[in-house]
Amino acid sequence: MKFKFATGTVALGTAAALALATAVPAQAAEPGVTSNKIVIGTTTALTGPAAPGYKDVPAAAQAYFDYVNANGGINGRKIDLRVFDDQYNPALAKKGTTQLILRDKIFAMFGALGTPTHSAVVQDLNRRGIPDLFVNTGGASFDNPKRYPMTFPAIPSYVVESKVMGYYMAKDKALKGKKKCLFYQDGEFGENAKVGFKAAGTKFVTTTSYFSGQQVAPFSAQVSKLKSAGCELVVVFGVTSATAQLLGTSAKLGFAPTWMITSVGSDPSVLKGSLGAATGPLLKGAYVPSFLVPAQNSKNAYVSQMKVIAKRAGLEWNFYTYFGINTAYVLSQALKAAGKNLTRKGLVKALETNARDFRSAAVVPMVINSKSHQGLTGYYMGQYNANSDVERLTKYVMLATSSKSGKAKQATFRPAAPTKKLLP
Amino acid sequence: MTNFIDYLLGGFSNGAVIALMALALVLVWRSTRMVNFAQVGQAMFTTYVALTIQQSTGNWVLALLVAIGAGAILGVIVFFLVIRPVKNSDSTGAIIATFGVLIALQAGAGMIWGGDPRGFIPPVDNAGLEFAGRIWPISPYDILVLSATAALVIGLTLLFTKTSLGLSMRASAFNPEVARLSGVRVNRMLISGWAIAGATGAIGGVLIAPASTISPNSFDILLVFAFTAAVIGGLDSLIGAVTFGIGTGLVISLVSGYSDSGNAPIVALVLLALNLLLKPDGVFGHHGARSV
Repeated sequence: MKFKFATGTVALGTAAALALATAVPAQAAEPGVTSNKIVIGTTTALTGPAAPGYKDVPAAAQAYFDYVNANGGINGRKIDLRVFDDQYNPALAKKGTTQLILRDKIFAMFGALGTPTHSAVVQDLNRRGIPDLFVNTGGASFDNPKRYPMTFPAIPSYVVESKVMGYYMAKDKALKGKKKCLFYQDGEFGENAKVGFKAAGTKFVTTTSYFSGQQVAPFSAQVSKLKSAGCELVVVFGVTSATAQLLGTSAKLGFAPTWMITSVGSDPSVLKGSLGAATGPLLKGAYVPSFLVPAQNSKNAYVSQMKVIAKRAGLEWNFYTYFGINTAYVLSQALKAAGKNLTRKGLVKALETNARDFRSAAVVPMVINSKSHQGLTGYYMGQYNANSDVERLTKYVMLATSSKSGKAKQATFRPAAPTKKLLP
Repeated sequence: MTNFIDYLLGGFSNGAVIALMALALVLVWRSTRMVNFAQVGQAMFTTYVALTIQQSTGNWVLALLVAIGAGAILGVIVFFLVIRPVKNSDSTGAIIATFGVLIALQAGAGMIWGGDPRGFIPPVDNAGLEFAGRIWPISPYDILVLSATAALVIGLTLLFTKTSLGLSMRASAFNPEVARLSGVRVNRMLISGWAIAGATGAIGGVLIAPASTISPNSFDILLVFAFTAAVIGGLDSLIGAVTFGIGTGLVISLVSGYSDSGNAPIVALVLLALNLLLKPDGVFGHHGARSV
């Protein structure tokens, strides 16, 4: 009996060893990678309430990949981007991500949009070991290499942004003495902002909020509250459609404070659709943090080349197309750094060791290592001019982390020049 | 105190729009005994039609009239193409089908007019009125919206209580067989109900657009609040829909002013739940008038 058991074990062991031996070559070929192609996927809002602006991001990334593919691809492989329209709906994001993994057999996710949408899939992507690059949201929860070793955010978190705003408001002579108030979106977006302002020591005279969708009607109650509290500087943490309604309702009620608006909530091209000709005067003078070289700065080597790529693809040059091309550029450098023998683990390793050498139009340092997946680390302060273009106000940049404590710090940073012909 | 008055005034004008959508829901209920979830989609679509007219002619009144006509026609189309074929076999299926219509309309509007939010220029000034040394959150345009809502509810009430068309419509919805035996052309009445509801929704859409922006999904949240108002009001009652539509606007405004706006939808849903527990026929509903 004992003997029989032992042979059984040996037989089992041999079978397992054989199975392993045959499995090895299959594993070596990574899903989504062939000798001439790399398949990547993205979930984003092409239709629905979040689509304005954001629907241009994958089109711009595609324009850059077309440019790279026409110039020989990356290590001989062409990039094949598959886009799924999730309408900013978590259930659809889940469906789309599963479809990209199982049907399209993607090598990596790239630029998935939104906190609620991506929260629905981030665990699954990490469990399957799929690189999840440049998630397009400032939700602070995605910078957590212990929990999500495969996930890398594309933009500084809202905690970082509010710490930077807090730092600047305390330092700037014109803003220091003003009565400050906060207008925010309920949920993780606004909560992240509150964490940052608490760490920065910013005191608000009053705070008021809106729920997603409320911007269909005027924010009369919120504006009345801000107005009667005597707010002189209102910090806005909301999406662009809410900013449009806030500026519109404030104009209606004769309320004209100084505005400071989150970088994701003030795109002039979207504001113009709803506010029309009033956009310029309403937005002029509003402060906005930014981490990219100003888009109208055509002398800059990044801006001029990216603009050509956008124009050639028939795309409008705006914040979203600029951001889409820039993120695709960084991804291409990461794929190149991962080497000819492209693997998922190799890509993560390339990011964690080489990120600081990647070139991009960002004017803040990029920090990615095994302990932090923060990515871009801060902002400069900008201000809208009469043409609704962001002008850079500070020569310095302000850097911070997403932790619950610690203020932003001032730093100087000179980004390196782009690679030759903007190719990876 | 001035804050309280501000919140009330703001709530009134925001509530008027919820009331108009709730009215449209009640009208469909009255004519077909079902809830039309595509109502906000139809209103969105006809508002785009109005926007197109306004942008090409600059005439707001013409834009409104065309939207009303388009709303009535669209209501009839939805009834003929979707509701009538489905409802004969399965009345729950018909309600689900209205969701399908909503999605189709949103996709269609996106294809025709694009997904970017668009502004709508108001026909009269939308700046808050200056009075007693301060600016109040009520504009000439808000007053227009409130008057239009009042006129509409009075007109519709007269239609349903004083005219033979209105009485026949109610009879056909309530008991089609008996109505048919009494000589009412039931089919014609159902069509009229959907046309009037579509036209009312269209007015609501055109009226809210200048205070908002139009995009294929921008009216979605209105459905939640309009439905709440219609149900609390008794689904069958025009005055109930308007009262609780404006009431919902006031609740949202007061909650947003005095606490976090995130609590507003919760308060609205708690009120709905309480209402269903305590007075399931609705505050203005007649007992026994519904059999769902």
